[in-house]
Amino acid sequence: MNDEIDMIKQARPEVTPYSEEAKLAARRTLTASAPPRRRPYGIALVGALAVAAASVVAVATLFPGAGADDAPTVAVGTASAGTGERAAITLPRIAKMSAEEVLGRAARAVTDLRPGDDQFIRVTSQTMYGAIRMGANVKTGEPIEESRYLYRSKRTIWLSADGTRDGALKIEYLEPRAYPGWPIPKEAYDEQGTEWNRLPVCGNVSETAYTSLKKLPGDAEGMRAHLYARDNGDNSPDAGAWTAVGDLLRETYLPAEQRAALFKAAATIPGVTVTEDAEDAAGRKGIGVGRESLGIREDIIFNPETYELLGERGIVVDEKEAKAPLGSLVASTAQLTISVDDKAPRVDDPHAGCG
Amino acid sequence: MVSSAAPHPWGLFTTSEAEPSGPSDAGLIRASLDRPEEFAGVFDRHSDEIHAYVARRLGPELGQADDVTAETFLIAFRKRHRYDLTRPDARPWLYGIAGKLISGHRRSEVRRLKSLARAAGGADASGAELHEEERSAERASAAAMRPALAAALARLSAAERDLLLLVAWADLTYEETAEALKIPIGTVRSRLHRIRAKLRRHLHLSEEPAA
Repeated sequence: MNDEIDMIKQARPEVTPYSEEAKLAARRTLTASAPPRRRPYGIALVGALAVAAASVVAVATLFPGAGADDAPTVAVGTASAGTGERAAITLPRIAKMSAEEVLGRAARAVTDLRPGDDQFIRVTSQTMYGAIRMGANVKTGEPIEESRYLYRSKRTIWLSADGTRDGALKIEYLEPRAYPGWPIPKEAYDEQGTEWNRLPVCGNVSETAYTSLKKLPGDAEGMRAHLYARDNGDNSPDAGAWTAVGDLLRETYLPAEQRAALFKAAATIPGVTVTEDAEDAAGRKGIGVGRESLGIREDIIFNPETYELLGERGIVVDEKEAKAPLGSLVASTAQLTISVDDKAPRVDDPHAGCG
Repeated sequence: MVSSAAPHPWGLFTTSEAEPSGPSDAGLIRASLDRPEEFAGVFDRHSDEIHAYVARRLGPELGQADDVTAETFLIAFRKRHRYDLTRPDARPWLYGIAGKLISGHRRSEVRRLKSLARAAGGADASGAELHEEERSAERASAAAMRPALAAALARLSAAERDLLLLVAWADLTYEETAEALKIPIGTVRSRLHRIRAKLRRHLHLSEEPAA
């Protein structure tokens, strides 16, 4: 006989359902306590942003071709640390100077740090990229509401020159900003503080190691073929080639010969033009060489006197296509220092693995 | 085995019922050892059910059920390395964790039960003052919980309530209850026997209880 227990059963209180808000908060805490998956590391490293939302497909492609597996990707542009927000931004004026001319000067200005095989290239930079979350619930296929914001960070990367030693990556998250024309979502504040990542060797030499880059073609024609050889998915071959140019320069150290070849090859990509009013994330003014893709002009910025690389920027030139106001900045970076170190910091990173 | 999981109030995540062919809980937990985010699947399956159970025991006040549910899954997540992967259903394990947390709120559970017992001018005289939200909460559940039963539940020990309510409110089988409480199934049976006797006494029931 279970009568007493049945009475208790029948007296089971009715309860109100778990509120969506509380549930989302709990789930977010749970997934936030899950250490982020190893960030894809490689060519698209700078563009990779993990937007945590486990049963949600997160997609964020601002600049085409920078895709890296399961992580949303993003990309490049300049900026206005100096001028602030989008107040001072005007549409880029296309200069009379040709891309060939600017890139030719950049090619002639190249230097080489000549790191030893056992040394490390250290690059510090400041970055701002768009994080765009959209997609659908994996299980139900229902679309989720698109959200956008600009995430900012200061980065220091140590790359083994010959790719045989573990590198390190330090990321200091800076205050996020609203993506022009979009409300800033809560998840924009998920990543804070400073994060250290170990960049493990995993048995194969990285494509971005100095010695790997040294094996790339040293002539413009060969380099051009290399730029166009990459699989660019749905993007036009020219857009893909321009993306490849940025990828070879970002947080790497391209040897002098290859760097000169790259700049010469880049000048031959259709649609590449020059603007003299570009500014990088550190507020440094320079000459922008860029190309429009998906409503955004993607500039690589050079020092107007030395033709040294300053940074990148993304500026909206087609409001409709970019879904952001004309002239607004949606990406901005500055390469602050490049140097050679004998050692990389040892990072105790339990998530670094070779899976 | 009847699941007491409420239908999902929102569309973003689906329940296990909706996807009977998916991986077992153990499968998700195993996967989460390498890919921690997989653990969200366990949350999506069982959080409604755990929340309902906690809310029944602690009441809807002050978001306690929300907090305890969130903590239950966080603790589960941290302890997932120690989960017995031979057990496909994680519910007993989750209930066990939730039960321990509820014990930490024993005083508020007992206070709630006592207030329910007083709701209809019940016998309990230990009259703590009630806040207005507790009053409205008690009015809401008074219909479902007879004051005499609430009083009887309040007089059980915490361990006894744990066991009884896993069976009566969480619909766990004796086997699952044993697993949740980490006690032998024989102990479940003998304790339930004792609990029944206590209830009968507290409810002033004769050997043939009124239906």
